[in-house]
Amino acid sequence: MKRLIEAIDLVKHFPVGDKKRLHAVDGLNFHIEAGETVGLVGESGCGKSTLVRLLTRTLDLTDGQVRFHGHGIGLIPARAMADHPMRREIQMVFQDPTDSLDPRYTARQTIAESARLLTDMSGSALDRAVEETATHVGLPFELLDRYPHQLSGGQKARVGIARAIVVKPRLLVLDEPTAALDVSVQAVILQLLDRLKREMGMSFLFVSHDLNVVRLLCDRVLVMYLGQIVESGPAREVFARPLHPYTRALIASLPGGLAGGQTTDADLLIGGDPQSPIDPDAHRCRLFGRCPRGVERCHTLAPPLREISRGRAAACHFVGPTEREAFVDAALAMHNIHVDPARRAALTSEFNRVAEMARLVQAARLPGDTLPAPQYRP
Amino acid sequence: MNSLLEIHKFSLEFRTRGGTVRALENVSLELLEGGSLGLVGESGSGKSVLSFAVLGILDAAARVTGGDIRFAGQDLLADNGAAMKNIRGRELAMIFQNPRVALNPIRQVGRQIEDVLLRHTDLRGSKARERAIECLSEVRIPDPERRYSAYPFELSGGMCQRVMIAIALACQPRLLIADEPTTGLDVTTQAAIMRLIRDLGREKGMATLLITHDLGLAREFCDRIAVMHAGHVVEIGPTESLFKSSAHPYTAQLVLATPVGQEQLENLAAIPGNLPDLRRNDLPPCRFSERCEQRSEACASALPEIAIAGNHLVACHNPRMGKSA
Repeated sequence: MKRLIEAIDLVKHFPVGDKKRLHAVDGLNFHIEAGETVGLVGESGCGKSTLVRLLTRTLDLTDGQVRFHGHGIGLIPARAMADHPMRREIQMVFQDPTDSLDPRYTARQTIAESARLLTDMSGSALDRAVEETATHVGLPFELLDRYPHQLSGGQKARVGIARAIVVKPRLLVLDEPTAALDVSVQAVILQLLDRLKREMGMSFLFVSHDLNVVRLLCDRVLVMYLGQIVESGPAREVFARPLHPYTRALIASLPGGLAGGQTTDADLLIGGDPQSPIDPDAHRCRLFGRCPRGVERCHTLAPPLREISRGRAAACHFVGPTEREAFVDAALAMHNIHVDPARRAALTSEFNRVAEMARLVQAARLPGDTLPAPQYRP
Repeated sequence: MNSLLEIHKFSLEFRTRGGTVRALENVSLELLEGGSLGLVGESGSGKSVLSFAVLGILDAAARVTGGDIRFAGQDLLADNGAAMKNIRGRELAMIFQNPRVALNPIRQVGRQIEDVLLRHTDLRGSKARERAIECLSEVRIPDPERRYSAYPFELSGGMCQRVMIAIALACQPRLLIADEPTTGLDVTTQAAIMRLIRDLGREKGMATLLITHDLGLAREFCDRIAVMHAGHVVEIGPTESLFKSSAHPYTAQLVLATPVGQEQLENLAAIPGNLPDLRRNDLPPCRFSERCEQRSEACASALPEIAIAGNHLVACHNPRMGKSA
């Protein structure tokens, strides 16, 4: 697949006086492929919003590159971006549907404005495009002439999405698009996004701290902590078996767990607050001090983000592929078989299932058994 | 166990220029001493109004039109306000939704804890200060002596929330009302705050009323849950029973709309329609009936109260019996 947008050693520092610098984004490398949905998760203050502003080019970079379809766009000044032809390729859906709509514009005007400014459509072609988009996002025509205060939360969210996709961008950045919605409405909006993704073939960057939503909607997930990516990989795999202690803590913190009804695993939780992002020690792991495993090495040598198994990466000294994953990889390599990450995940989970059955069979006790059940080693 | 908070057929309305809003109607619920009850529902379902009614801090436009609220046997509504001032903050305390708004921005957080102590206890001067610092450390705020003189803007969202909790718990209340105590906080902080509330509740035998729209959160932290819809309690029961055999169609749909525990996005089901306009004069007896797929002719008559099991009650003519959500 083709890389749509790519960040190379992306850095953004903000001066905070006294010659100190706040490291909001500190050397990020990642890419989003065409048609892919990538989730970005992390606590508030970890640099998610800064990263979004760097990618949408509304903020100038300190260092590094942003490439869109192979063309460097990192050097376009943020001020010039509004008139740049790139503007229509990357669009954004904002967090609060109420705050991000102009109260004095009707839904139609809001949607039309972005098309009028960014494309050469006008007159009846523009009207047609607005109505087409409204149909696409499930907004009835009779609502188009209403003002934001006359629309419900879900309808406003649809207007916000319509405004972004009317210019047919190739990358849609969504910043917590469902955080302000009730659960009853959230489900419809998520399904709408899922449908748009399949119908329009856009790439999504989905920023959220609702892990359950990311798990359901995204193909791949990036976990950010204090300006750095600490883990990345296919969403299903990352949620099923998080590698980095921070990702584990995030997942363990979910009320009800991922499957629902489980109790929180207290051992995995992390306490305390993150380190200060102002001039952090470059030789120390950013999670040091909160991490349940921090050792001497974490203090003196910051772990880089490295590939752990195919498609999965983590920045921690203590993670490696599991024996089973290594086994699947080795078996595939031996027969020279190339599979995509999803298939590999499916193979590994099938292997896990079989291993689990074997364990159950071995641990089973029959009436009259006197010896202790043998311990199964995978 | 004894019941601590008893709300019986409580009704409340707001008289506004746009008409009378029937915000709560025949709301009944009970919270045992040391128990925890989750109050869940969409925004606008009356969760917060109910808690304001319990605390006696309702808006001037509110009129109680029926029912009563009893706290430890005492009728809170009969009171003219003087006795309530002694109960509120001491026996009944609340954690408000947004800590940054609820805290006084120009007063040191330690001082704000002391204010409560000065009003309700005999502690004065350095004794009060010591207790305030102790409160800060009880909610696991690191370096409490220093944080005592911090202003809210100097603290992170999670820290402000802890200060709110410290204020609420300063006098060791018997009932804590927590209104969305973790919205806007990160999941790691949310888990820490909720565990803190639960542990302190257990240690001190404090009852908790948790108001939330997050079913997953209520499921993990409450032993009973009441589901509210448009000013009615539509279902109330022990947590597991409510999840495993949701009897009210609204509860069942709420469970299906929550991403927790869902495998596929397609399985998520939105709840059609909106809350009815509570100013209408022709509100049906069941306020959910206009959104309900299981509506029948019986729905036009007064709401029943059917016991599904022991203390699992549902207000529906066509409850889903024995089906799981």
